Amino acid sequence: MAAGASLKPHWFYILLALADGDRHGLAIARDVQSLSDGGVRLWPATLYGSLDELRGRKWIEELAEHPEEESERKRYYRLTRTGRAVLTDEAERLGRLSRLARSRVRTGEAR
Amino acid sequence: VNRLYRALLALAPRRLRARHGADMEALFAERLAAARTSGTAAAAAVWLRAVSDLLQARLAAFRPERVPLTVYIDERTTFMAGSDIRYAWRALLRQRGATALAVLMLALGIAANVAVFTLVNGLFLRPFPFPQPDRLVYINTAAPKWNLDVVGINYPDFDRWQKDQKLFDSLMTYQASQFNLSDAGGADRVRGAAITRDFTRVLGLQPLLGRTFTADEDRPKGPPVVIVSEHLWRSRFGADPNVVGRSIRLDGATATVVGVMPAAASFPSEIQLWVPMAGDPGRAYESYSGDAIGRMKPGVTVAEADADIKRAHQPIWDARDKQRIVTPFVKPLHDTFVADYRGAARAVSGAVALLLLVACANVAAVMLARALARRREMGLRLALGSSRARVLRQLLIENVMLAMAGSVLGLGAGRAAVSALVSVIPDEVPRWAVFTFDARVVGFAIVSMLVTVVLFGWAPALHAVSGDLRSAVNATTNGTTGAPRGRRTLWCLVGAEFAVSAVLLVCSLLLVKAFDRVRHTDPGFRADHVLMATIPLSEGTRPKAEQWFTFWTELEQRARQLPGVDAAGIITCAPLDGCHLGNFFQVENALPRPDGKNPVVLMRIASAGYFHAMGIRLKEGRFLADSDIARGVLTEDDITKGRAPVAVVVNESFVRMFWGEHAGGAGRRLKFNWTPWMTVVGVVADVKHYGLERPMRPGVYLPVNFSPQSAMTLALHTTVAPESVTPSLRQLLRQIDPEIPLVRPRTMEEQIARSTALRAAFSWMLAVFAGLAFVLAIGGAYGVAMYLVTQRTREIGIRVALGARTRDIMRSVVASGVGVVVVGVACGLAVSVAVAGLLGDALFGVSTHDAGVLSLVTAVLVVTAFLANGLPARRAARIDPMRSLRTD
Repeated sequence: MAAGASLKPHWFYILLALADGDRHGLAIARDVQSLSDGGVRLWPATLYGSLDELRGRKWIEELAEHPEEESERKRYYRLTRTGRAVLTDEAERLGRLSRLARSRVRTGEAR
Repeated sequence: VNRLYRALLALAPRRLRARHGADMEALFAERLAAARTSGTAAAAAVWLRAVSDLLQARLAAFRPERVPLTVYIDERTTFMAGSDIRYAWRALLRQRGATALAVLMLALGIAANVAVFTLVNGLFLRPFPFPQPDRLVYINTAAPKWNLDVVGINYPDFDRWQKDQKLFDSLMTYQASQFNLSDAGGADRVRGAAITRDFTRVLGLQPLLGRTFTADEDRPKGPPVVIVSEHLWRSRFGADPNVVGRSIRLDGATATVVGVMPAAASFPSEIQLWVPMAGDPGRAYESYSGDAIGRMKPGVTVAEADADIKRAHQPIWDARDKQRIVTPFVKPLHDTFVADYRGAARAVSGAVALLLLVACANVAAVMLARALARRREMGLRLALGSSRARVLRQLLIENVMLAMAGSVLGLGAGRAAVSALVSVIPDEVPRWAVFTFDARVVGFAIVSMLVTVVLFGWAPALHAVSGDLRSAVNATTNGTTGAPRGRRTLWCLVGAEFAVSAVLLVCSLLLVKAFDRVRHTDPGFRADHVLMATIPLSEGTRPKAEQWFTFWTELEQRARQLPGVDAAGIITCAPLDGCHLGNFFQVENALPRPDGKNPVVLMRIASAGYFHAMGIRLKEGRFLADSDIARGVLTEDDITKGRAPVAVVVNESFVRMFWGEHAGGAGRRLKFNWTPWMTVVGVVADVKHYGLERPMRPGVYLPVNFSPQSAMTLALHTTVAPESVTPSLRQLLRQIDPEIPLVRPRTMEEQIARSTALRAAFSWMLAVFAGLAFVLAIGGAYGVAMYLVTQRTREIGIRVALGARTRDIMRSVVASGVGVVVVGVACGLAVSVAVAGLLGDALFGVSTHDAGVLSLVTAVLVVTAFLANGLPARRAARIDPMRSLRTD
């Protein structure tokens, strides 16, 4: 992912949720909601549409075998190496952005 | 609840639904459960969000996805628009006949809709050409107790409103009239208006040159000044930049031009010049005439403005109208001017919408037949891995291309139709209305194009991709009876077309019948061989009533001697002229009125010759005679002191209303509240003064010497074609006084035709649209029957080979087609009775279930259904079994 270009926010959150470990769709939705303090709610078509698309980009992959004790039909997803790289890039970009913002705000105060 | 969401999942793209449907339901259920704890509103919000989420996903699926080539290529989801369009183009070209037919039918439907919408747009949607037109309101007074919707503005009342109102930026009152404008170039009659000085401020316009009137000019005995319109400035003054300060002759007096107003100010009826109203607030009963327009302050509603004016009117009620006879009202300005057209516009818009529906049904049938014929192709494409979405997209592109072609053609044809229509009935088009192609019309055409795509596209699309592939691919042979569902849809389309056509035909025939009834209404006078012309005298050159009386008497006598003229008369208010002069009378021995209201009486002032010139029928007593007028102009003393007995003639309605049905009128008496009793010398038949379809008021004719007017209408009865007398009449007038114009010479028959022109246009437009729908329906039925017969070639061949007779084959083909039509027509007739009820007054008493009309429509539709199916049936019966079986 080129530096400077931004990632769709809900993609970022989905990747972020998966960075912590493999999850199925419903768990991702819950995770995203708590990660964003309830600010981002993924609705069904958006969530699963995004999962399909991220899979298409090979940023995440579907697990062939399911962890035990879970019902058979749920699909689990895992972050790929590309995905993790994209997420890292985005996190760094956001970090630079917030540093920039903070420095600006501070110089603004000084004046 | 879950079931509902499952149903909604149909909105989502197919692949998403198939892969994740169950998971999506689970997530939604969790969301809903969480929201329910915080109330119904939150739950409703969740539903809304979920639906919009699904719709977004659907939209995203349509959007071309730019995927980096290095990452991933999916042939099937890549949107190859270019090749799709090329493919669609080729598919459409392959069947040129069907394509041309579809485009023409769509163009027809869209043209009709565009034409009608342009009219509707010009009348209803285009704002008036003033800044912030929605702040403008129409103000007038009504007298509910006297059954008068519009009384007119009394200047002192207006003055009071102007001083006491709080919610208006400004108010104006105006009174349209006509002026004799003369200079070295000759005399002209131009439309003008007397207005109060705030009129530029109310309309929000600035003079092009000069200024508007000052307070000093807008008062009694103010200096004679005039403002001219841009049009007059260009045509009459050659756009002279120094026109301000010039003097012109207006009604025989000199007036100074102080300004030029832009074209938009010529409202509402091509006003060419303005003079100050110069009203006197001290004269309480000056007159009730004219109209007022107000500009409300920003944010004020019409209801508030209405209350404000009524509040300002309170002192007038207290002072001189304790019974509250006259009540001011405020209405949106636009509504006031379009009220007459609303019913007709609605009916015609409905009719063209139905016409478009029929056109779409027809195109759907054509496209469906094509789609059924292409099932094999579609089946093959699906089998080869093309997705259903891709095939649908392909069809969609074809449909959009068809609809676009139809719309472009339709837009052009609609435009031509509008200009033709407007040029045919110029008098009935309100003068402020502009019928141009603006963004709204183009937008409308685009929307109707999209609607047509949906309307005619759904059936073929569904059939193209439904059903299993194998049967489609296997249906290798032409002439097998495949796709029963497709056939059923085709017949439904035909049935629906006939139902809609039946509705349109019934309604339009009812209206044509109503029009016929209106035309044959007895007007109360003899319409043929009558020439009318209005003649205005300049009060500047002839200031006195005596001079007017002398003029009218001389004109009448000399006109009677013109070659080809055998009777002449003059009247203040000619029939069907839009003129009304109401008055109240005290009537001796009048029956008590059940509602306690004193009816308004139409007052006309006529010469003795008028009744003969117009062929008005005498019912009782005698007409006014020359002896009634011989005394010359009656002075106020003559009348009030009873020195001269005044003879009056009343109409039948007057007798019926005041004295009862068979009471008789001659010898009875009536009076104004300021005169002694006047004796009725005769009763005449009612003249349809307000229009052939309007009820007549009680009416009184007073002799011309009672109160001669400066502008009157001359009526001539001719022995030759009436219009041929116009030149000699014009010459006669020039001999008497070259400064007096002859206004609107017209035959009475023209006048009657003009008074019914709006109804005629309305009825015939509807009839034309119904006829078009009917033709389309016949075409549709024929096309479908033909197609199905072709499809059944092999089956029929077998039956013929097995010994079926020609008659059997024909019967089986015709029966299926006609059966559908009969069902359609029956539904259509049932609906049309209800729809015709919506036409209301426009039916002029014709019953909504008029037996003649209903049976005619049924007969015509069923007979044409037989014909439309008969030809294909004959063709079927002639099928050579050997050849048809060999067809492959």
